[in-house]
Amino acid sequence: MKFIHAGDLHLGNAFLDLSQLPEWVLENVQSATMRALESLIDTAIHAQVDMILFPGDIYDTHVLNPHIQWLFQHQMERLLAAHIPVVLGFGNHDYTDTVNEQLHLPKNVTVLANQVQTVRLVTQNGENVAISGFSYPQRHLQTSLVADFPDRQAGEDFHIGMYHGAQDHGDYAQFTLSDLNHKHYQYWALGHIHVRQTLQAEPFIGYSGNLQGLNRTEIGPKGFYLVQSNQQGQLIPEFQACAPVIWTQVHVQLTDQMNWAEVIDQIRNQIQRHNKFQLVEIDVEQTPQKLVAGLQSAAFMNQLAERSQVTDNFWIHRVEVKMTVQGSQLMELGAENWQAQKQGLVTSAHLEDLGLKLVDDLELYDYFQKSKTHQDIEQAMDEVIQAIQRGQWHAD
Amino acid sequence: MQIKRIEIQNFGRFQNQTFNLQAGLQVIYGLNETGKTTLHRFISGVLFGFPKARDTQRADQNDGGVLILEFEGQTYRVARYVNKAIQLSVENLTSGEQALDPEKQLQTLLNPLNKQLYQAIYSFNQDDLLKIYTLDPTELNEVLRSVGYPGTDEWLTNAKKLQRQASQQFGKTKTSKRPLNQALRQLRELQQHWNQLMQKAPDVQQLQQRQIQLRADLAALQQSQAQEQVDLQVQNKLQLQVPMWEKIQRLKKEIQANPNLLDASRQADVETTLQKLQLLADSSDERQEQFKQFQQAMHALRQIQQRGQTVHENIRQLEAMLRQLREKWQPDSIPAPLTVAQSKNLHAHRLGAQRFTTSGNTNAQKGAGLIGVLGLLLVLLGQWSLLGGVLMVSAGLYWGWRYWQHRTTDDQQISLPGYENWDVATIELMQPDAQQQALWQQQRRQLKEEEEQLIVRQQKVLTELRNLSRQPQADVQQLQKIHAKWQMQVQVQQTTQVQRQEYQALLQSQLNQLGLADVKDYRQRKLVDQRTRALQTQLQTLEQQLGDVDQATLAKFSALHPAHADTAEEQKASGDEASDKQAQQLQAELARVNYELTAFETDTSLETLNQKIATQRSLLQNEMQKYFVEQLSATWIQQTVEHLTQMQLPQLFKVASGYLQRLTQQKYIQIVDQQGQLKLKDQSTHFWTLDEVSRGTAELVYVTLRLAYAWQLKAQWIGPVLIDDAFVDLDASRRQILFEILGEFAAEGYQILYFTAHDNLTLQPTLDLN
Repeated sequence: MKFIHAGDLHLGNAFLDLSQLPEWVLENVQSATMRALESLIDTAIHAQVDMILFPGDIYDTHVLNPHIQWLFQHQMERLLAAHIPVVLGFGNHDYTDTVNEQLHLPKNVTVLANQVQTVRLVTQNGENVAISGFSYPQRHLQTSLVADFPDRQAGEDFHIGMYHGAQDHGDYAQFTLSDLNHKHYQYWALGHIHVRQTLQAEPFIGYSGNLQGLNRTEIGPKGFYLVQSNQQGQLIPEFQACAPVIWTQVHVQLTDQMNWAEVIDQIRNQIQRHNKFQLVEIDVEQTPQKLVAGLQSAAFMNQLAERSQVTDNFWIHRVEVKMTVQGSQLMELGAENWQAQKQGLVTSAHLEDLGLKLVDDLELYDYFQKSKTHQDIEQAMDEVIQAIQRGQWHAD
Repeated sequence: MQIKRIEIQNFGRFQNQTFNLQAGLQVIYGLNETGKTTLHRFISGVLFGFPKARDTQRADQNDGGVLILEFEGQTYRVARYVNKAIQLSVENLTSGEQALDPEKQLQTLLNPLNKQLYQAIYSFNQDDLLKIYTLDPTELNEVLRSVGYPGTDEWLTNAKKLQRQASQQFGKTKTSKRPLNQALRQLRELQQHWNQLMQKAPDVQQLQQRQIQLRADLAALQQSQAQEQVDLQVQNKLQLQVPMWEKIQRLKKEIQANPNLLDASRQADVETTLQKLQLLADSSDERQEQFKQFQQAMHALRQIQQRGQTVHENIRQLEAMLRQLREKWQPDSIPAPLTVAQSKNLHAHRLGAQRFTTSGNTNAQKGAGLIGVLGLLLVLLGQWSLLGGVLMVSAGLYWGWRYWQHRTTDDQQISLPGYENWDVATIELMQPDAQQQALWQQQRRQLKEEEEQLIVRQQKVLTELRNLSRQPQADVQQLQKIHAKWQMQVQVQQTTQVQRQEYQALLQSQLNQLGLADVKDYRQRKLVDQRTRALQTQLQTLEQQLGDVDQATLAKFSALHPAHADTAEEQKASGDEASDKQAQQLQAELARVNYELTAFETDTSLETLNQKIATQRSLLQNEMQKYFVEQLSATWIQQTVEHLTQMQLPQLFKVASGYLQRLTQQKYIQIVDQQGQLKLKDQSTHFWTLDEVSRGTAELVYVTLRLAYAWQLKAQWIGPVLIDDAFVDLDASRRQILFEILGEFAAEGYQILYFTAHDNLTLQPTLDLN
């Protein structure tokens, strides 16, 4: 038996953490999720798999546009022509209700109901396969649904479970490994976590990760699992990369003898060429003092952008400067004094005062309400103060 | 910490200069340009580092020197040179130890100060005071307040920069047009655009349904059009078909008129027979006649040849025998035999002579002899004596005759040609041979004649044969071959002939069966049949073209008036127009729907816009965060500084107030901080703001605050205080009070180096630089 386990497609989602994109990069990037899916379907048809399992987050409901819908339908129709069935469950981002009406999926696609549903089919080799799973009816699920899954029956050559959830997060159908193991399935296809990880090797319980990295923390190749049965009747997954765009981090060493042209050359040369398009974050280690201010300036990013060419198979989206620690230049004001004054500085109220009230974009507004963001701001403030202390801060 | 001695190797105008200093307050006197500031800078340079060569105007690679310091009872030698390999060295002269880490060691002497701090606290010069005059009240206020915590003004400057930078990016009002405000606007626009696009997005399902519907409608319309087309074609066909139908009728009549076609199989038989007859090549009798002749001639030839051979053989034999005879008789040739007369003569002649010798007659003689004997015997015996007697008589007669003959012949001289050489006897002997020879020769002659005749005849025959065979050069062998071949041919011909006859007979019977008299009849009939067949084919073709159209309809139709057909056509035409238009409309709509669907499939504008929105939002997140960080950092700095200042200020003000009181001779008695504003209280408890007092007074406030602060720090550090002609503006009395205050400092342990160009001081200068 052969099947594909692919999760968290997030079709049509935009790439985050990109502040400036020239047209040619934009083109590359906006179609990435669809191209990843296309590549997956190509492999499925070529390898003549018995089925494809999507355990959730095919797209974000609030992002879904008719074009994406249509493209997804079209891909499913390709699978229909190749006689490949698809079992699809909705996750916390694409949970059902209104969306389901708008989707007209061909008959080879089974959309799992909100209660645990078991789909049965027979593979090309005549094996009886049962697939159990469910779709999220709402954004959060506070309870585990593992109990609703049926045990493996006699006569089923393989029983596979699809589950969109997290082990350590109460809002996403929290589960435990022992619960899953009690069902005696040969394979649990998990979705929700974007990082590819194996929770248990045998029988396999794991996340295939998302199909295409969408922000700068999701680095490295992304794709899906092609799962095949071996002679012992075990289901062994094999990772296949299909994402056309890869996020990478590249460490660069600079010396203070370099002029700016040389700096840019050095940075560009350090990027290893890849057959996929790379979104590169440059980490400059032990930055020479001279270069610190320049590297952090907008002018430098503009220069980098100017040097980029359409024939580059990469785009540098960020330059992180790690500075060598120097002694104080400014008067020490005392750590306790600083700490004492920092309390209560970063609050939503203050942010509002400073200008957040002018923001009417909901997502942006919400972002600055989050405690994580406030922590980030506090950390950045520490860095500014430290930089000023060391005499390394300069106005843009 | 105190400076005991200054050893300048090279700095400014000083080279290899040494100055010894005292503890406490001392005046270093020097007119302008004598190096007061230089000394000041040198001390600062050794303690905190000389400025880098390119940073100063007076760049000199050889700068450097030594300060001998005293600190906590120990004497230190601090040497610093700009350009030496080891720039800084610190040696504890008391213990004799060279500091392994000079920087660190120096730091312990200077702790907690750095250059800026030192300058800020312990270094007084004109510039600072002049500055007072240039600041606006708020700035002045700040400067004065920040005296309480030196170094904070730098912080505050940075805070200002942060704020300025931040507010350049983002304005807090709705109408602000700063970059981030613009960016927010852009984000809004992008979102609106997105909403518009989403609204405008075609209902794909509907479109697809419509597409299917249109296709069906179009197909149906096309089908009905096709149907109409078919009907029209039927109509046209009918029109075409009528003349055809009429022609068919005519053809049928004509065919009827013709006789029926000959029975095919029978005709085939006839044809076969005819063919066979044709194959049997017509042999001409003439040729046969010729062959007969040829054959006869060949036969004749053969005979001639055979005969020729026989003749030749016979000739040969004869010649052989003749040769033998000749050899027998040895002369060249045996002459011709004697004629009968001659021979008679001879014979008679010879008889006599050759009675006994003529061999030819020997037998007769012998016979005669015998008879004679016999007769004798008989007589003797007495038996038949008569008979015997006769016998004897006859014998005797015979012999007598012979003798007579012999004699007679002998007597005659016979001239016999050719026989000259022989005698009679020989001649007589010769005669049989001669006769034989003559016979043979005659035979031979005859044969030779015959042979010649034969040759002639043969030649004639050959010629004839050659003519007949038309091979003038052929030799006998070839002719024989020709003959053989010809014979075969003739045989074949004969067989053929027989066959021909058979076939002829057969043909005739076949023709008769067909009702025909002869071949000519037959051929004529074939022509007629051909015509009939052509007609039939035409008929067939037409009938085929006509198809299975109803004949009755056609019959009726052919009687129709042609004009009637036209109007039907007109009606059809107008109907066509309407449906064509409809088809066009459907197609136009279908094309539009197709276009929309295709456009939709390939339209990535929604995704692109989505990404642009995300990008813009990312940008805004980053930049706004940066903005917040800058603003809040500034606030943080200000708050922290404020706090510190707040902590420090009261005490500071207290001490400073004391100094101010003394220096202003009780005019102003207190410095207070009211909500961040510095104010001076006078005796009448009136509070003066800084801009309400004279600059000179402001200057004094500054000095008192500075001194107060330095005084406050005496717990943390005591070291040299450098005053570089700072109090020039003070009048004598104030200066005097100041010196008193400085004296108090000195008493505390501070070393105060007072650089001045004035000499009207109450103190004696320690150093004179002039």
